[in-house]
Amino acid sequence: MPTKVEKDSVSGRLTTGHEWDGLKELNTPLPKWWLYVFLACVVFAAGQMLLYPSVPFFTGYFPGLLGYSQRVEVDRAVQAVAQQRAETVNRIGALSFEQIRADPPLLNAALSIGRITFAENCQPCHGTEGTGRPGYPALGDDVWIWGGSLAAIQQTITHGVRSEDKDTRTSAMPAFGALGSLKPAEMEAVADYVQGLFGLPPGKNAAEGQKLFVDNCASCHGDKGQGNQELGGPPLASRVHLYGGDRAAILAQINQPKHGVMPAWNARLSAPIIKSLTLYVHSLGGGQ
Amino acid sequence: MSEAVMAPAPIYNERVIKACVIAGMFWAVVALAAGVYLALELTWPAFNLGFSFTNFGRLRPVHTSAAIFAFGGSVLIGTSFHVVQRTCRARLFGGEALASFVFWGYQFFIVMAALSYVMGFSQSKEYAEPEWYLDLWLTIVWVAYLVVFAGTLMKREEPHIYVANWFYLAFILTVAMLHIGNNLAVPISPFSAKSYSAFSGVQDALVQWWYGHNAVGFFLTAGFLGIMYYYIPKAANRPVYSYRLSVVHFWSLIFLYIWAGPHHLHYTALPNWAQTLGMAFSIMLWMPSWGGMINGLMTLSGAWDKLRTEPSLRFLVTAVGFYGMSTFEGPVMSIRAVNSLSHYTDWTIGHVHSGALGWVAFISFGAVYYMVPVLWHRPALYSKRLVAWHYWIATLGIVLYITSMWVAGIMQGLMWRAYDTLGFLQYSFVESVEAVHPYYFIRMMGGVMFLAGALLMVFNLIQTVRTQPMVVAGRRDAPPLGASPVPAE
Amino acid sequence: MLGERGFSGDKAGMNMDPSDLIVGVMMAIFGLIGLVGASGAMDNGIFVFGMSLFVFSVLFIFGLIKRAFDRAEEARHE
Repeated sequence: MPTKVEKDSVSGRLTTGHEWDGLKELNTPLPKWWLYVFLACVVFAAGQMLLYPSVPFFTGYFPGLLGYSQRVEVDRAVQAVAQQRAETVNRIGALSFEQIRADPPLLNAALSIGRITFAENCQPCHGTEGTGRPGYPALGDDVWIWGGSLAAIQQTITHGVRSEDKDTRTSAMPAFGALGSLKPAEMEAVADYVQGLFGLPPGKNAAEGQKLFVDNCASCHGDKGQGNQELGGPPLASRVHLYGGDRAAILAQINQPKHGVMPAWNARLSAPIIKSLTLYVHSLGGGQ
Repeated sequence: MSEAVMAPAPIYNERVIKACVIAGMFWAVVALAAGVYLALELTWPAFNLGFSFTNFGRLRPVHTSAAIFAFGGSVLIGTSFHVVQRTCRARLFGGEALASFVFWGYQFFIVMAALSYVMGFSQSKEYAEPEWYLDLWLTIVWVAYLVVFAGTLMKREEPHIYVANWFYLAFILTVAMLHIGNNLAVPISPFSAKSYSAFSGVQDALVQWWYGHNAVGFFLTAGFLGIMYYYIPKAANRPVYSYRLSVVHFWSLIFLYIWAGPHHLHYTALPNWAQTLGMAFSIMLWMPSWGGMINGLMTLSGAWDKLRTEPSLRFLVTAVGFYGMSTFEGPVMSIRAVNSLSHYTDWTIGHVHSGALGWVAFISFGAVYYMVPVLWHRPALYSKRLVAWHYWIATLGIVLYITSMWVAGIMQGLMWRAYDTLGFLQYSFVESVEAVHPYYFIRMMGGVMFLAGALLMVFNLIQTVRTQPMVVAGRRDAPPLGASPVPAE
Repeated sequence: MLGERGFSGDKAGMNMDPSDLIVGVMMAIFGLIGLVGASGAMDNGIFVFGMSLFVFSVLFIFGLIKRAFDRAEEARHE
């Protein structure tokens, strides 16, 4: 198409003279406001690059006139928060549980700290406000494996269960079925008895099961299935069950027991924070 | 085929364009349906169904790839072939076989990629999830695409190259560079699907987001600006507003966009200097992007009344409006202080979708509504009223989507940074998840509406081809919109 | 210019483009690569891809052949 400059009747502008498939272009100049805003942005961007770390070269980078450093900012922010927390946290650390409980504002502060710490660290396993999940103990009830007193809770949180901490709590239930210490018929009998402890109707051979229970299980679970908090043997005479409340779950646990692992939190949380957590967990309703 | 006997043989290769239009609309429905399903999963996790292949983690890339590459890519290939032939007055270079290979090879890539995601394979790079063997295949197809497109430019009958083609060429070339750069990887064996990225750590993060941002900048922006520069002046029957502006904004856009990647990595381990550059260049990018918006909107001077009578033109123009909105929101979100609130929140999702639904999808719909009557030699669409319904339902869907995500996003950002008077966090993460639940529901409804609109469109297009009479043989081009001699209703 | 008649493929009565030949050979190679890959596949990903690539290239080449014959047919009717 030969160049054919035309005048557009609507805008009064001339076309560039080129045409493609009926399409033409006007020679409208750059809108002034567009140009000025563009230049203003360039100036702003240049300013940013002057004030803040920007241009790299082989041995380093231009640090910017403000001397800004992201790392320094983070450190400052962390320090500031630590300072804001310091007074309350130090008091909690210095006082005993009884003293904290005797000071309502401080107790409230500790419970508040415990609540958010729990929500951010413990909730993934133990559920919101400690409702528990299969394999993860519920904390809001009065059924405890390792004890529900303040001292016991504090110990458990600090050192964990079957964790890598040297003072970890630990227990091990023998694999009665897998290792052959109980024959299948014997395990069924024990399950018949334990069902009764769980609150279900006991099975046919509950009497025989009870005898086997006393011989094999009572040393950790207590002769009436009440549990043994010293050894970490969970109470079986309850309505709260860690791995399920039906017969299949009972048999599975007798056969090849599962053992949960809880991290030792002393590496991650400071002692006053763990104290706050302890007070919080204790307050969930089942504290001893 | 009766068509070959009745109409005169086109001098342009339109067969491949028609295939792209059909494929594009098919993938649009797939992508939107996948998106709705993901929204369902986010609102009610039970929809994950417990199967590995219906899991959110596997379906997410199905949605993103289908939307960007399957839908967007098919539309881009189709429109680029349509535009380059007509503005060069030359048939596609490389013969029918090569054009056919570009189309089918690309569709094969899409299907294989989606299959690989559902089977659990991923390079874990956003918008670059396909594994090494698929990346290689795409490279081959892309080189063929470049050969066809650039070859057609080189054999053009027009002395000058129309602006739309600059954008298309920039898109094709830059995407090739980005794709190859980000996907450099060492397969564990030529017989294994898995590979190790050539990059790791924060270096990999930067390579990924150099790619990721420019996938948006060149695939979803430059390419679709090419679409805009042809279909808006065509549909409005008006000249492009300013040649000078198109030159300046084109060069500044393609120069500045490349640097914007670091704004995805503010306040991360990425060195501060890189973050500053990303922010600075993203801010400078604002006006070059708006240059496209201005040219698109102002081309309608003298033809604004057509918006009342041509619902498909509304899609094109509204798309440009959303483009302007998104390309303002983007630079704003690149500012470090703003990003410290928005990063990792649903605001980012809202921003993505205002661009993807408002700009990319709408400009595609507008272009397809224009192209179908032209390519299938029909005087007009089956129903203009359905187009209007589509427009309003889809727009309402977009509005629901982005407003719900703005609220959710800002809420998340504020909750995550809230401290109480003791100096501890006010809210746990789980509480922020609970808080955004209603907005996830609203977003899902927005997506449902957008999908419904697309289904209306598919019906309308099918009916157009099925029920409309063909235009008299001998006319290669249908008249521009608004001048149809046979009313459609 | 590619696509015009006069290429030697026309002599056989078939309407073969140089483009058809180049792309056809390319696809045949890909098909073989797919088959070889699938045969040695260490995981499902490569197996599915390789087999699909083989099927795709077979179908594509069939399509090229079909179109060449269609064109020859049309030419005879003009």
